[in-house]
Amino acid sequence: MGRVRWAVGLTAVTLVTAGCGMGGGDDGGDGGAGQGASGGHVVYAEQFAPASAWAMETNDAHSLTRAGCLETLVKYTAEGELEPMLATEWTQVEPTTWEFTLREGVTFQDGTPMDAEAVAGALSHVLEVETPARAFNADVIAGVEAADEATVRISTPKPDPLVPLRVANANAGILAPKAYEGRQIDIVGTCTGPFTVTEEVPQQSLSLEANADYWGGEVTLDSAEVRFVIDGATRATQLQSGEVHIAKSLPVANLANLEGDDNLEIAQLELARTTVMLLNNSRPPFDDPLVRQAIQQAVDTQAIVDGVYEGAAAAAVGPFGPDTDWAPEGAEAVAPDLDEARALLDEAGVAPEDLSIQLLAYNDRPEFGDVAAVIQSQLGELGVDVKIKGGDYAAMEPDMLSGDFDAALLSRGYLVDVADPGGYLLSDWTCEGGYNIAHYCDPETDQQIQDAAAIEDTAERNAAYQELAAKLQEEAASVFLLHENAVWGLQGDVEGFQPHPLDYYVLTADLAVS
Amino acid sequence: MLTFLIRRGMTLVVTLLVVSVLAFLIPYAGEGDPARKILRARVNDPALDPAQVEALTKELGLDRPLYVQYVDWLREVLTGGFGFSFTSRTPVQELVVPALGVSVSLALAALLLALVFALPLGIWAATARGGKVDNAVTFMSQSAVSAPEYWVGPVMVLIFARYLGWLPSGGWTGPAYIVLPATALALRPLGYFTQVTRAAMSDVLSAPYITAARSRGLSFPRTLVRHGLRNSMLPVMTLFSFWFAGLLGGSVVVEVIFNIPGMGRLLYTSVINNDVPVIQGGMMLILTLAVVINTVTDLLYGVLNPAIRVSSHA
Repeated sequence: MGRVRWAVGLTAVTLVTAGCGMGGGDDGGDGGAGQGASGGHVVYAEQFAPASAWAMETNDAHSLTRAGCLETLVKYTAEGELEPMLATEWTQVEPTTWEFTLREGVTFQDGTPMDAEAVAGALSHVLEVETPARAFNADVIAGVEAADEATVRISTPKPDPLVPLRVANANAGILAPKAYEGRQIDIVGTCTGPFTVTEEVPQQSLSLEANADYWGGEVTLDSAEVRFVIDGATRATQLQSGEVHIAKSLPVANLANLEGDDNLEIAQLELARTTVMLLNNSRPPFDDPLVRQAIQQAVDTQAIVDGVYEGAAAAAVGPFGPDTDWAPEGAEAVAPDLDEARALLDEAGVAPEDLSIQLLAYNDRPEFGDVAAVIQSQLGELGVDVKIKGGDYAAMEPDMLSGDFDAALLSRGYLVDVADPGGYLLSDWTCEGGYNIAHYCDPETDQQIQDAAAIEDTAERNAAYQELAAKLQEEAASVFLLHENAVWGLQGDVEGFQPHPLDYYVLTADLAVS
Repeated sequence: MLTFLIRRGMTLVVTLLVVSVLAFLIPYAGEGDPARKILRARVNDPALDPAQVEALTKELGLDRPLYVQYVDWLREVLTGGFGFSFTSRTPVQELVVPALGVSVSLALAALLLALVFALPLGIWAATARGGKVDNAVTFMSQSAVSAPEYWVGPVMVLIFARYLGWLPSGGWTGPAYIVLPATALALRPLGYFTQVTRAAMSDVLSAPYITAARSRGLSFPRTLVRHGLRNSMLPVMTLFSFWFAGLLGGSVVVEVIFNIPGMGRLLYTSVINNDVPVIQGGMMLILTLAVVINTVTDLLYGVLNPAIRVSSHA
């Protein structure tokens, strides 16, 4: 039944305890692992202020799962497994029909029961919005209905093995019927999670208190606050000044300073996101695989990881993170080899000096300027001339989509809708893909991707993805550079926090301060 | 006086019309497809469904000619609305009015702080021209003028929030939260106000009517307050209103660094998300206020200096 493993390896979690092993001088409440005292208040600094008035089909829903308010039928665990949450079991009763049995006795925070009627209403709402979510929309879900009081039936237009993953997405979160009555979603007292929103100060914060009737058992903390702090350096400062206990997405530039602070812990987790130098496969010089491979051989990805990301990233072995189920086992990053690169260019009949390429590096990502400069110097050693062009992503996008460029840096999440990379492969690496910026087009690959995405057995499907990953890397469809880490900062006295590979669940029932 | 008011009123209307065109067009100055930008703000993912982009373009009327969009928008503005935010679908006034309130308090706090220090310093320097005090004040005011907020702000946070722990480093939930950002914002106007007060006061003090007042036996402090201060206030007031109008939408850096939900931060995030109606509504509000403040200042001139009022009759 519905136990799917997709595992973004937890081996990638590195907990750096600053000041540890310095010879136990101050014993500032280290206390070892274990149960924090009950009670307490935690302030969490969130990176995004809600932009869409808590519309469930947007990122705001993801914020609300981090706030410990919104929950879904099925849960992604930090280990990458699917676990029961508001549903206790699920079965594919027919090829195009899934049934979810709801957990008994769960009530929304306003006291109304979480029954099949309420759940079907909540999920149908997401299907009906104007710009629906990728994970859960009318193209992939035909309908949701209450089969009986405790069973929700979800039908799909075609057989879909990913339905449990779809309902685990925050965009398929469940709120009480009252939440959907007004023009905007009402999040006060309408969740099922461990924390109840008591007040929202627009663009500033959410005040939360523990949900005394939480179905998942006792909530350790008394109360919590989510603060929307959009500037990364400000989040870092507020962590250091002790104003917040947990801060999300700290800038790499602040890392050294934060790690030197004895009162803080830094937790890093590899994101399901790839930074790639896209090579335009649709026109010279990168329509020639040999030239692309030569560039791949000349780029030292580890140097970028160490030099620009201060180690808070992993060198790429292909489109997927090295510890995921979709990276070929034992795959290694390309070892830079300039002689090999020269030989490849020679074979292609191209002199390095004749290559002059423009590299687009949008500055919405603060590190891209440096990444581009490092690549410029590395390719310079090969004799290839690289000109860097900066600017807004929005300004560059038309050229990237239409294929009017040589090379471009891009940071791309590969699990954007569900915890399965099929959607990413389809949109980015098929001829007609909606986001195929590299303009890579191989009918054989197209077929392989479509076949892989349709495989029902998870292990088989993952094996097919591994083959595809190996193929894209081998053909140097583009130069996959690295996977950056999510950098979380915590006060030393915070217990029970675990970074989540999809950035879910920050305020949880188990979170405590000692 | 009446003709003066009518003339000012007409100028005001024309200016506001020009302002409305500007405010309307500003969001279109950036590059990129507006619908794509809006969708990206909602899903935080660059790969978008082309059908969805097209549907949104149609729904928001972004495919209509600009002048049609402008006329519709102006009609709405005249009836007191600014439309709905593209990203949050909330009425724009619900977003811009509270943000403006925050920015007004922040700007007033900063400018009053600047004034409280600038006036005595400027007068002190003017009464001791060329002396040590004058030199020190000039040096300090020039330093203040050249201190950028993006540097002063973080340094103050480092000292007062991080190391001393006296004040919160950011946010907007109580009186303590206004101190650091207002101080950071106050530095540059403080510098300018001090210099202008000093210069104006110096001029006034060397004027014959001061000598006359003194020779009538008026004490120096009384002369200063009665004759000197009032006459030297004009340029300071001009500068004050100029800075006030500017800070309403212009304290972006400070509002972002200190995480303040004011107009600057609202416009900043709206530009990033391409939330066109919010940018337009916000700009319209700020520009209108700037124009109105300017007009009021002009009128106040007349109160402070009858010579200006008289000349307008000519």
